[in-house]
Order: sequence, then C-alpha cells, then structure tokens
Amino acid sequence: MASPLTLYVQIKQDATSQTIAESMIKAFATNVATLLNSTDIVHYASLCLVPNPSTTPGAASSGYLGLLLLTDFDLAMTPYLQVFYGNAGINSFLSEVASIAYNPVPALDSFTAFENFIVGANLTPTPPSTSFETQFYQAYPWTVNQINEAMK
Amino acid sequence: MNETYSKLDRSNVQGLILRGYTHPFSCHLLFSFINNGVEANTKIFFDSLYDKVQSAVDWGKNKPVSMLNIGITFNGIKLLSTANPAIVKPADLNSFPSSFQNGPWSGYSQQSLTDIYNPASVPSNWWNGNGDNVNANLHCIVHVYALSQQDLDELVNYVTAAASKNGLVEILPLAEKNTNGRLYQTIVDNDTAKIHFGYTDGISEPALGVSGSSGLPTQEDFSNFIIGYGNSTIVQPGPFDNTTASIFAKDGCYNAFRILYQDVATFNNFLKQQATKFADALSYLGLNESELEEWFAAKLCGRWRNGSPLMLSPDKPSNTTNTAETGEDFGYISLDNPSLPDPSIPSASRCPFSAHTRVANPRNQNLIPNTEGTNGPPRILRRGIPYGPQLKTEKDDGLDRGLIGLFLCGDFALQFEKLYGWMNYNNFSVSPFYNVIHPPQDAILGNRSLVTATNSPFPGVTSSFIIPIESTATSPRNSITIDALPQFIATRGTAYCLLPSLRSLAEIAGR
Repeated sequence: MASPLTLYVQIKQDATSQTIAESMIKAFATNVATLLNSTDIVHYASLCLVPNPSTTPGAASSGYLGLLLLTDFDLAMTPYLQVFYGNAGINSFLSEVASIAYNPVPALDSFTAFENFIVGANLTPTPPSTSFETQFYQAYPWTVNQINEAMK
Repeated sequence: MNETYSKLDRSNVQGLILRGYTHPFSCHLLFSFINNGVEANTKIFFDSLYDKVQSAVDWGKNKPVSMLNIGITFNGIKLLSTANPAIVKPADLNSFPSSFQNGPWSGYSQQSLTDIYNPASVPSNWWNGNGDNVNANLHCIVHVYALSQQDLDELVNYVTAAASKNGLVEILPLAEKNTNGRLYQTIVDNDTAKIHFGYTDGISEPALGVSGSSGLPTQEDFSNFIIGYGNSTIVQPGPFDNTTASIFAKDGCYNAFRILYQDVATFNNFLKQQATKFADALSYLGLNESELEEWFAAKLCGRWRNGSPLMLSPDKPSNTTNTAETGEDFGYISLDNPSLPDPSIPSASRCPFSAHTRVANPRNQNLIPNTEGTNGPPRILRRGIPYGPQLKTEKDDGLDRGLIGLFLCGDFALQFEKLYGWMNYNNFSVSPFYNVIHPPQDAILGNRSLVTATNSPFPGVTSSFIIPIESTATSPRNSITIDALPQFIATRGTAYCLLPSLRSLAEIAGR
C-alpha cells in the first residue's frame, strides 16, 4: 500500500493567480509528469482546478477556488517527501502552488517548511495510529520498482 | 575540521549531543507538566535543574560526578508556550517539523516505525500499558548520569523532589516490579559498553566536525544534527525560519527516545538452533558449537560481539579491530575485486546484506539514487544503554530488559524514520543485492509482523535471511538461508523530544 497524497490548496482570486493556476494545469503533463517519471516511486499524479461555487443554483460559476493534486507514491510519506523536495523541477512547481495560496504559506526554502506545507495541505486523512488503514483503495500492493522488475 | 563547527558555542549545546557519556550509572525520568488538570510551576522546576545541566564544553580531567540533560516533547513546548509566549509564540509552534508535532505514535511516523503491526509494540500499550495517556501527557524527560550509584540516587532524588514540589507528575514507563518502574541503566557482564544481546555497542558514530572533500557538508556533518546552521545542509534541521520557534530551537537537537524490549532467551536459543541445524554445512569453518553460535551472532549484526566488524575480521573476533579507533576504516566495496561487474556483491560473503550494522549504516554501498539520494546513507547519533536485569537462565524469566535508545538527529523523518524504514524493508540499495519482489529485513531489528500484514507500506517483505558462505567439495552451496527470523524486539515506548540549548532552558527557567 503506497502513501496517498490529496493536496488541496485554496488559491487567490486575483487575475494573476488565476492565470498562473490555469497555466500550471496546461504545463503539468509535459513538465511535472516527466519529472515524476524519474522518481520511480510515483504511481500516478493528477492536477485539476476546483471551480468556484456558483452563487445561484443552476448558474455558471467563474474562476477557480483551488488546486487539487491527487497522487500516490511508494513507501512512508514524510521521509520520502525528500524525493520531491530534492527535485528542482517538482520543488519549483510546488513552490508556485504555494505562491498563489489564499492562506499565506512560508517560503518552501527548507525541508521542514516543505514537509509542513505538504502534510498540512493533505486532505487524505492521516493514517490512524492503530492501523495502516486509510480512506484509500488500491487494487494492488506492489511498489513501482516491484512492478517494473516483474515486467522485465 | 569544519570551520563553522569549530565556532559552535559548546556552552550553549547540551553535552549529550556532542559526546557519548561513559558514566556507568544513569536514570531517565519522565514527567508530565499537568497534575489533575493543574499546570505545574515549570519555571521553578527548570530553574532548580538548570545548574545541573551539562553543556558540551570539555570537562577536561574533572569528569562530573553527576549531571543531567533535558528533553522536551512538542506537547511540552506547547504548554510552556501557552504559559509564557515569550518562550515560543503559540502562532509559531507550527514551524516545528510535522513529525515532531504529531509524535512517533502518529500514523505518518508509524509508516516507518510499524509498531502498530506487532501486538507487543502497539503505541496504545506503550509505557507499561498507559500508551494513549502518556503519549498525550509526557512533556519532558530528564536524563541523569553519575559515576556511582550514590551520586545517581542523590541527583535522582533531587530532580524528583523538585518535580513533586512544583506540581509535575512522574510517569513510570515500566511495571513497578522492574526497578520501581523507572528506567535505570544496567551493566551487562561488568562492561558498560555491552547490551543484553551480548554485543559491544556504540562503536560507529558520526564524526560531527568533518566536512566532505569538496568542503560541503556530508551526512555526518554537525549541521545535519544541530538546529540552525543553514539550509544548505543535507538534512536542514528545522525550524529554520525567523520565528520564535527557530530561535528557541537553535543549537538544539532532536532525540527519538525509544525503549526496546530485547527477548534475550529467544535470541540465545535461536543462535543455538542455527548452530545445530547448519553444523554440517559450516563444518569447513572448523568451529565448535559455541563458536558457531558466535559466528551466527556476528552474521546477524555485522560485527562480532566484541565489536570487531566482519568486513575487517571475517573469520573470528579480533582484539585489534574492535574499537572506534581500529574498527571503523572499511566500506562494503573497497575490499572486493573491482574487476567484477558489481564489486560490492562479494562483500556479502563477509557481511550479509541484511546484517544490522550494514542496514543501519551501509557506508559506501550504492544506494538507489532516485529515492535515497546521492549523499550517502543518513546518520544518527546513538546513545543506547541497557535496562533491566541480565538474563541468567536459558529460559525467559519474565522480567523486562532491553535498550534505552537515545537516537539523536536533526530531522526525525529524514534520519531516524528513514533508517527505521530501511530496517523493516531492505530495499535501499541497487539490486541485485536483494530480491526486489521480496526484500528482506534487518536481521535483528526488523518487524516480522509485516510479513503477514495487509496494507503495509512494505509489500512482499520477507523475514528470511541469506548468509553467503564458501562453497566446498563436501558442501557445494554458496549460501545458507534462515527461512524465518524470529521477532527479537518489542517497543515499550517512544517519545520525540527536543534537547534545547542552554539559552532556551534558561529562558524557560526565567533566568
């Protein structure tokens, strides 16, 4: 069972921040997904924009409330956040997410700040201290490395 | 010598961090700052203890007859902050690393420590069965050291009297039939360096003042352990920002205080059983039964029980390679034939891949670069000592005994928990050291419950243990395999503490 990360960050409503958020979605597949491929521990990652709620039932909404990153990676969560912290491209991407956060985020210029941001924004319930069960389903238990090895 | 290290203000750093004490008597006292909902007078308590706190200043020839060091949990700092925001502003508490804030019983930390999978180790049963209550209410640990039992008793009595007088509650981590429930140091075989499994401990420790050849910090550099020395270090101990939390934490160090029960009877019987079972396969060694037991003990650990490493003394324990001065200069590659495709593989014929010291510190062994980085293995500072009476019989006597582990680090997740994850799942090196589909575990400390667990972060883990051996005409095999290693260890309790600077302790004491 890998570590699920559901990173939700409410973003600022100004035009610049909204444009940055849109551009991050467009660049995600080409820029970030390629970097994730090199880590050998990420099973998948998906980035999406959460729309603002509409003010009237049935009416269209405009703009975005937040960014949602859904991913799942092998091994224990916090020790292996260093893989992402140490990857300049992924670090830069997450720093950009933090820069448009509605609630101010301290600069991600140390591992502690990085860890606290990720853990604090993770909507996946913290695994209870009584079992490894989380609100998470995975069809297979194997790590990316094990799958690659078996496919050789 | 690292220039910054030489400028470190040792008078502001607790002594335990920079040097391992050799005082033969110690006691580790646990306290809560809350008594029936009433907060203790921590200011006077800390003031009472302050002059007894040993700093890292060299004591020369005048070794203190007794002394103490103090660790504080995150919950303890939170209470101190509420009582006096000048110590740490409550709004700044979130600057501490989340692993420290959440505690070792939290789900995140348990992904590495895995106590929740062993019924004998579950956090709710820690601290003599009072796990949940103590985990929430343990606020500080006072580590008392002395040269004699009398000196120790005097200082322990002084500390507990100050605690009682100021409304702190002492927490007894063991059953009262064991040394009144307190964690007193035991001397095994009249040797202060020995632990209950018979090994000499504490030989390999990071040389904190040494930078790499490029001048950049290595994993062993002090800036990976002491908080506040730059975010260019590998570990970047935090908080490292401009908050009151970072000011409070500067010159401090984290301590994973872990009490590990050691099942000595199971361990000893296991060695006997293997010596009998594999006597024929190992006959080429020419060892008698007792010597074969020692051989297996060495293969499990990576060092003979006298401390000499298998890589330097593969055939028998040596008295010339058994100290920190003589038994440290080796790797897992350099001794081997560099012309081989992977020159580190044959080193396993001396020291098995999953031997404890090789897992806890694989030295120059090649790590998986994508996940484990390229800076070498993380290090921790160990200050372990045995507790509980020595086992004198073949069968277990039902008494509690084990290791009081003080694992000092700059970041719980990146050093302590990462190494614990490795011990439970030996997947950190490039293959073909291990079977990727079924990675093995640390031969001594691995949690065997994970083998049958579902939903663990360690899929396919196995408790089998492979010992490469010499192939002979009468025994044409190149390894022996122990199918299922027993559980040798159980966790009695764990606390994450900060060992604050002397300046911060003075702040708490109102000095």
